[in-house]
This record gives sequence, structure tokens and C-alpha cells, in this order.
Amino acid sequence: MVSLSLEKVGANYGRRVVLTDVDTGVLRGGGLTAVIGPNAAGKSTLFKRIAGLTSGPGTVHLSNSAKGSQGICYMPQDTGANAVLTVYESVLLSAKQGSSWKVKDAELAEIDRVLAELRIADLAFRGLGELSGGQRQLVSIAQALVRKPEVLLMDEPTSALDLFRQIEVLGFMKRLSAEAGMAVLIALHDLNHALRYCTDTIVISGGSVVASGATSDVITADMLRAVYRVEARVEACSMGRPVVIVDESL
Amino acid sequence: MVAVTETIAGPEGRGRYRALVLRRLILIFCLVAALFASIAVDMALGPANYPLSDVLTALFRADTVSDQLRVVIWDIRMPIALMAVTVGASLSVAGAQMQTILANPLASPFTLGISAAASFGAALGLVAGIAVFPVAVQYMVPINAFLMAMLAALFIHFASTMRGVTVETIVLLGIALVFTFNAALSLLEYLASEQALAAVVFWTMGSLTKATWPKVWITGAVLLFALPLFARHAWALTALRLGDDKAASFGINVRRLRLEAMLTVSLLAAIPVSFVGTIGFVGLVGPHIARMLVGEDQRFFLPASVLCGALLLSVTSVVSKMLIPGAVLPIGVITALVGVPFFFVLIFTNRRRAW
Repeated sequence: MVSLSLEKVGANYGRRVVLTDVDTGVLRGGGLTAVIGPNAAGKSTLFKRIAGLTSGPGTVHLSNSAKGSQGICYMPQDTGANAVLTVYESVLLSAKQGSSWKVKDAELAEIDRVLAELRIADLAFRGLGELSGGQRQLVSIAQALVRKPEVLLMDEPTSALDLFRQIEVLGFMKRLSAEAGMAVLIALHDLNHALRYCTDTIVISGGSVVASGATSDVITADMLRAVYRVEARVEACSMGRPVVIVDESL
Repeated sequence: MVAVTETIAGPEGRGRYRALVLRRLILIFCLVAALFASIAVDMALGPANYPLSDVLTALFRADTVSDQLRVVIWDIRMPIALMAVTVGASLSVAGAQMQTILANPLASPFTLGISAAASFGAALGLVAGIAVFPVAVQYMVPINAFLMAMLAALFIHFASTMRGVTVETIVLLGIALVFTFNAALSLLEYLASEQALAAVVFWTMGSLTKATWPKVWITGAVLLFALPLFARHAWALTALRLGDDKAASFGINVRRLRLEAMLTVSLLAAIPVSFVGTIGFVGLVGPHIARMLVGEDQRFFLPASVLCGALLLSVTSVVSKMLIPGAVLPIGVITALVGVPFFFVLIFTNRRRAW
């Protein structure tokens, strides 16, 4: 099973340092890791750095990987709404990068499978420009999954989804990561989703990691006060699951 | 809760996709057929009109027709007809790729100032007798036009590689170039003699009448050099339309791809303009027509752009001979008049998004 760890990883945009000295323990495939933090904390930059899309100091260690760095897939927040392409074509596009013009039946069958799994087969021949933001996010997930990544970096994949779709997608990703042994890092704003679906959590603030480890150990009232500047409690709900209850902003 | 993995009843994607591909191939075949028909009609029309059957005989069994017909078809009309095809195709592909890499529907050799720069270069030669590159003075006008066009294209390109410059900025820079070169051109026209002024005005209207076989070969060769480059990057260029972040996430080196495409596009836009003058409409609208017909998958969009541009200019060439009997109107003037109504029909009848 693939595993990932970061050692003193940083990232710069020109002279501006966006991320410094990010260290993580070993993040193993088979589960979800939440990456949380306030807006502009450096979550997207961290993902781009791990995927090799930005440069910077430090090392990204990848173990037990069959594909190497090719197996790391970054899923940005949105997919182009202006392109005159159908959903089906946009997913095919992701699968075919770097290969020949000819499209095999097996490749199309894989797209059918992924679209059906995400329950968006009915959107297959709609134009990208006709989709809602949430639908585009689902297409973006399909584009990522069809590449069969070993490490998937999902940048706020549920931000435009309704509640039903959020639960559905996160449950699906949790099951998929367990089945495929995939390491999935998800940038999330909803901390209750992190508590429910993610085994580990990394907290980023001001371009560096301020806490990381098991989700229930990391998401605490103290962390919420220090990082999010809110007075909050983490309590067990009637079903015994931990939930964050925010009382007020500081 | 419904399990996500439970498949839902829906259309079989594979079959529908194959049908979509087939429909696009048929459309491309229709464009090829229409282009051949247009070329044949273009060669049949002129000061003396020939029946299509005579033209076809001269084309395929040249030894069976009169010397006069053979010379008219092969040496006079065919270079003009094929120049329309190669210039239309080049400008349309240049526009298509500019729109793709700059993510802007208004990008074209005309709107980014490349045509205006070429006009200024030509005017420098025609009015002031200044050769930008003082070799082969007999070809001063096309060489001036080409060099100024390349200069404008390279300026646009290097501006686009600067940090912090967005694609919107590039289009604004292009528009600034149009105004700058147009102002410089107006100044030259103001200072020009009557004869030189007439030459400049005629040049800027765009004309195929000075087409020769060498010009056709050069334009065709640049096109044949550019098309395989674009074809090799078909998937990557299509992915650029999903945004830079998304394309990069697919493993594409966006910066290098944009650089390669922009340099090729510069050549593709500069050569035809230097030979035939300003023809504005094809580079902007050819790609839009192609996009409306086959979408933006470059495996279809690229050939469709070639064919739409070639067909647009070839039909325009036909119309330019028919409007006033006995006179051949400058093709740059007629292009928009022919293309706009067709473009409007496509816009208003196309229910799908076109950009």
C-alpha cells in the first residue's frame, strides 16, 4: 500500500514564501487525511507542491508506489466552465493525456464505470458550461479517478455540493481509498466532515503545519481557538460521534 | 442512504460517444467535399467563365484540353484558388490556437495586432521605401510585413511569459498593438504620395490576385509544419481549455506548451498576412464556426478549423468574382460580408454553448 510523508517541504511564488517546513508523519494509503486551516493558509499550495506543480525546498517521500510521482494526482477546486466539451469528453481527456488519438473500448468502459459510480452518468453528454458548480465538482472527481491515482489530493471537493452529495462523495471516497489502497488528502472547511470521515488531520495556518495526527486528537477546542479564532466545543452526539459545536467568534 | 456505487439507469456512454465521433467525422467529410467544390467553382470563374466539366478535365486529364485552358487553370487560377485555401486554413488555425492558449474568444491574428503590424511593415516599404531587413529588396513589402508581424507576435508571446501577466492582459496588449500600428499606418498614409497611398490602401484590403506558386508552396509548407505539432499535442491543447491548474494536474507542462504553440502560431499568422495583406475575419470566425460544428476536442477541432478557414476564404474568393461581373474585388473586403451572415445563422440556430 502506498505511503507518503513530507520532510521540511516549502513552496515559494517568486520571492514570496507561501509554505515553510511542512513535516508530516507517514500518511498511508487506505484512508482519508483531512487538510484543514483558515482561508489562504496554504492548503492548495501544499497540494500543488506535493504534486510537483510548484517548486520549493524539502522532500516528498513516496513509498510502495508503482507509478512514482506519476501516481500523484492533484484535483483543483474547479474545472473549466467555458470549454465547449461534454462531460464525457472532459473525463476522456484526463484519461488520454500523453497517449495516442485512438480511443479504445476499454478506456470508454472505464469512463462509463467512473461516471456511474459517481452517479453522474446522466450528465455524460451535457456541456461543461451547462453544469452547476456542484456538478462540475463531481466531474472533476471523475477526471481524477479515471487516472487511477495512488495519491489523490482533493482541493475542497465538496465546497459546492449540497449536503446529500457531500455525505455521498466523502463516504464514497472513504470506501474507495480503503478498497484501492489509495492515499487521499482532502482540503476541507467542514470540520465535522473531517471528524467523521478522516482518520488523520493536518492543520495548516500561516503557511506551516501547526498540528497533525489522528483527527480526534487534532481537532480540539484549543486548536479551534488558536487557529480559527472561535470558541468551540468538541462533544459526542447522540450517536456517539464527535462533533464540533461553535459557540462564538473571538 | 443510496450507495454511490449503485449504478443508475442511464444512456450507455460508450455507444453515444462513438455516435458523436461518427457525426463529427461526417461533418468533417462534408467540409472537405464543400471545399473541393468551392475550389473547382473558384477556378471556373474569371474574366472568361468555363463550365465545371472543362475545369475538372483540365485538372485530371490536362493533356486532353487546349493549351489556353491548361495555362489559365494551372498557371493563373489554381495558385489563386489554392492561396485562398492555404491562407484561410493558416489564419483559421492560428486563430483557433490563439483562442485556445489565451483562453479568449476574441483572440486572432487580427485582434492581437499581428495583421496591423504587417500592414505597417508593408506601408513602410510602399511609402518610405524602408526595408526592415535590407536583403532581397524586390521582396521588400512581404519581408517587411512578415518581420513586423513576427515582431508583434513575439512581443505578445514574451509578454505572456512574464510573471503576473494574465491572458486578459495579453488581449489588452494585443488591442493596444492594433491601435499603435493603425496610428503609425495612418501617419504614413497621411505623408504618402497619391500613388503610394493607393498601393497601401490596396495592400491593406487584402488580395489574392498576386498569388504565385512559390507563395502557395511557402504558405502550404508552414501549414504542413504547424499541423503535426498541434496534432501531437491535441489532448494537451484541449485540456488547456479546462484552465491552467486543471491542465497542470493532468501532467501537462502548461508553460512549455503555451510557448511552443505561440511560436508556431506566430509563424502561421505572419506568413499569409505578408503575402496577401490584411484579411481579418477568417482568423477570428473560422475557429468559432469549427467549434460550433465539432466542439473543442482538438482531434476534430483542428481539422475542422483548417477546413472552415479554407472554405470561408475559398467561397469568398468565388463571391469576390461574382459580385461585379468582370471585376475581382479585394478579398479582405468581401470576407466579412460573406462570413457574417453565415456566422449569425450559426449563432442564432445553435442551441449549444459556443464559448
